[in-house]
Amino acid sequence: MMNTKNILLFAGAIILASCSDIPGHFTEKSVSPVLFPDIADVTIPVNIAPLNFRLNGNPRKLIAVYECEKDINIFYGKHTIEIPVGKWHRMLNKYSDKSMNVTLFSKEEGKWIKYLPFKINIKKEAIDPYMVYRLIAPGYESWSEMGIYQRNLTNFNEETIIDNRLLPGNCMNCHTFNNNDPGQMMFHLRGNIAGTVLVKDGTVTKLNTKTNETISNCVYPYWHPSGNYIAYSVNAISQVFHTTREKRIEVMDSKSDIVVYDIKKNKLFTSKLISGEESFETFPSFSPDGKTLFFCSARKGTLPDDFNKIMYSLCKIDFDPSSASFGSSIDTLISSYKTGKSISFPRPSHDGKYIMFTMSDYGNFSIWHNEADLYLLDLKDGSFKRMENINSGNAESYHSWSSGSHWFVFSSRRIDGLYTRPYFAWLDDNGEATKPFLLPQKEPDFYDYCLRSFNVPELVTGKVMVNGRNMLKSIGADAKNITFEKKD
Amino acid sequence: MKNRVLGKTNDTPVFRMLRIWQLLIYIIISAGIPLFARQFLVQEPIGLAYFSEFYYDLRIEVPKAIPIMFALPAILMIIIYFLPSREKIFKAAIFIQIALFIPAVIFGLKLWTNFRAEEIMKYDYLVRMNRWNEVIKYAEKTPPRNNLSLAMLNLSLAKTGTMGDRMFNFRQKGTGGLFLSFAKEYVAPMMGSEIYYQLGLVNASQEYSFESMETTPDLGKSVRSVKRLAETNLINGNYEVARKYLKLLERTVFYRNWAHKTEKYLYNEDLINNDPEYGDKRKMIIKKDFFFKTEIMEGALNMLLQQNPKNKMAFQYLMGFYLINKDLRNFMDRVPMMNDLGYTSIPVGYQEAIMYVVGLSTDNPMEGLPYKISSDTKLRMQAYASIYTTRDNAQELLSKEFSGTYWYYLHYCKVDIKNVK
Repeated sequence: MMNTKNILLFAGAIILASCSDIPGHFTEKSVSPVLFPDIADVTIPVNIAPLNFRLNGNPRKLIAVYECEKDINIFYGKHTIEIPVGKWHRMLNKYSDKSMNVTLFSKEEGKWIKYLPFKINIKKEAIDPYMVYRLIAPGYESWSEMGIYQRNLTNFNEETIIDNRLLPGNCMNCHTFNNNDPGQMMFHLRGNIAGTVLVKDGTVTKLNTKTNETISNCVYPYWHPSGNYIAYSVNAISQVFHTTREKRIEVMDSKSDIVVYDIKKNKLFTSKLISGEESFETFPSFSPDGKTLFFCSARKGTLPDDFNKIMYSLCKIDFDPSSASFGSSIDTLISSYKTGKSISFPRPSHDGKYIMFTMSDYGNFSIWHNEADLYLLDLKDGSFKRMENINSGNAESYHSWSSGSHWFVFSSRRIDGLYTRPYFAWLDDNGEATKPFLLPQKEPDFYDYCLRSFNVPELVTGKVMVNGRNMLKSIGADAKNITFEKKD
Repeated sequence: MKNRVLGKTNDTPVFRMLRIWQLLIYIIISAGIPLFARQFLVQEPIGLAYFSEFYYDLRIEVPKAIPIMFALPAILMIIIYFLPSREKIFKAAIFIQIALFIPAVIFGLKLWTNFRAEEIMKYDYLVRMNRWNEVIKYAEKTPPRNNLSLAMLNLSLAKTGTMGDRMFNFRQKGTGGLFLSFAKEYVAPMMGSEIYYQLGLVNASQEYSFESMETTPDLGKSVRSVKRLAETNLINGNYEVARKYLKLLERTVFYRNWAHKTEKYLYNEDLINNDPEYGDKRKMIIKKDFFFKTEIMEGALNMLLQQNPKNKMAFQYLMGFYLINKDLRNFMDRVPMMNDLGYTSIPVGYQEAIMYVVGLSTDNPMEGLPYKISSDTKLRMQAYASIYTTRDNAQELLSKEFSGTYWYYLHYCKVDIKNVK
């Protein structure tokens, strides 16, 4: 006769065996599973963190079978599938440049259901392993918890670079990097310790970027690839609040110019061509060779009355980094007169082939525009197109290229129309983007309970080593004033 | 006490050393853990590393009570150390404690309890619960002391349809008592949100709730704000955002049932449109866009009425705005609008204003209107006018019987008059 210990062991073995098997009896549903995040048929980089997901509905048990060639990996969950980081990376490395077939079995009301399988395509080319972003509530004038954070994209680790727990009441924004280099960073602080914090060559400097000659402090930045200059817009920004249900907030510039900061000489300079009275210039960006400055420009209007008539074109001007001088004329790459729309955030790819930009009905603060979509300009032939696979019915706005110029991250409000989330996609050699995937989180429910937007996602090639506490000494010090020079 | 006895019996150098080492270890642990956490886990100022109770809930402002509480055990230990043997003073100590405790409580209550704030919170609470008549009753006993409670009273008067009758029964202090302009703190915006919500300015209500949520102390969130945000998004048809807030509320103890019940409204246009509260707001919804700010409330109210002439709340507020601003021309221009709003008689406050205009004018401004001024108002006007025109101490005399009239407000109440655009 079996003793109690043996009976328990036997029962345990049976339970274990029944758990680890694909169900023998199931009903085959000819529908795809409704997953959150939607990871069906996405293309991912070989180094991305596990794409954990949940099956919407009311499943009691889940079994996900990942197949590639002859290998099978099985994962279990209750209503979510959460894959260990190590095991996931072993799978991706093994199957890089291949596709995994994923079949999902769900136990609902005591019966197993098999859904239509889907694919996950793995690209051998890695994405830059870190992403830096600001987390802030998509609010009006006040903010609660806010900070700039870095996320290791290969796992789920998030670290604070700086936040307003450390600097109560202050706002921090516009973090940007030179060529995705975590060692060359800048961001602005607003509040009682305002200034622009510049991190370069291991030193931290706080700058006062307001001069008598410029409209405002420096605002939207872009590093020159040499690391010697940063182009900024200077903007008189205001916001108003809509009363109809379709819109919430309008952020607009009543004046704006472009200036360039010479880091070595500690001075701002500009040209009358990019700082004219009759036009608004904003969102500067340098070409990868550093010889062209792209920017958005609109004919000036009276605000707020003309708020929906201001439309920005995409323009460029030559820039000579050796003499810190501009060309003598402006070229319009995409005219708002032709498109009837307005461009913001022109961001050249690192290989110089494309400019990705956001286009909305009017204005430049596209995140509050549901109609805002991403477009791609081919710099070789000047053609541009809407990125069909990327856009949704809600706002797509800020975007950043990975160093390899194939992967990119972009902001989207597609989940609920309000809270901005980062999505990633791959751009193939023909300029076609794959179906995007959401920044993976350990718990797939994370985004349900996250009350802050992921703002200005920037990809970087490594970890930002300097954190807020180490920067505090420089942040607390008086800001270094900079001078201004206008060039014709 | 026991330790002290033990200490005496084992007072050898080894035990003394042990105690010193123990003490040092305690100090290192208590000082080191917050430093360690600050260095490797959470970015925070040094003071907060020691005084925040929870690593995930850092305080931006540390209340005085927290350092006192931290220090109290150490202080008590020191006091006890110096006190003589416990048994001897046991009874006396009890009496001394009680004797100290009672005055300390009274002193503490007087020093730290803000009864004025309690009054405001009561107004706010009653409004939040939609107990409009109770607000008015409370105001009769405890008149509003500031614009916050006055705004809640005026809202209750409008909700009960008695703003035109009774508004000037209470001391009005300017249009700040009608609409609450934005303040960067969490209570006033929530009260403002109530006003805009009831007026049908759903986006403005949403804005104020959001601001309230973002200004909640110590980076916290308020369920009241989240609930209102769920409602405004539901009314505006932003169902996925509404769902997000409802999911949050489903994780609370007291709002769980409400959230479950409200979830049924998501994507159910009929249910929303037929709901007495949300359907009503949907009917008032603004179709032609304009930019909102409290400085242009007159324009906003006129827009509300233009788009929905049945919005009686907006009408009452607009008339209240003109009366408070002593702008009788605009007030009289809008008297005919009562026709569309189902008024069967003219509210008393409006009658008083009209009678004042009649007294100044050779024309009859009421010509062609189906309403009449009551004989009671006419008689009161005569009585008021006779005192006002003949007595030197008219204000003193009128304040006894006529302080609740519009005439008294017009003549004697000095308020900041808004420039009417």
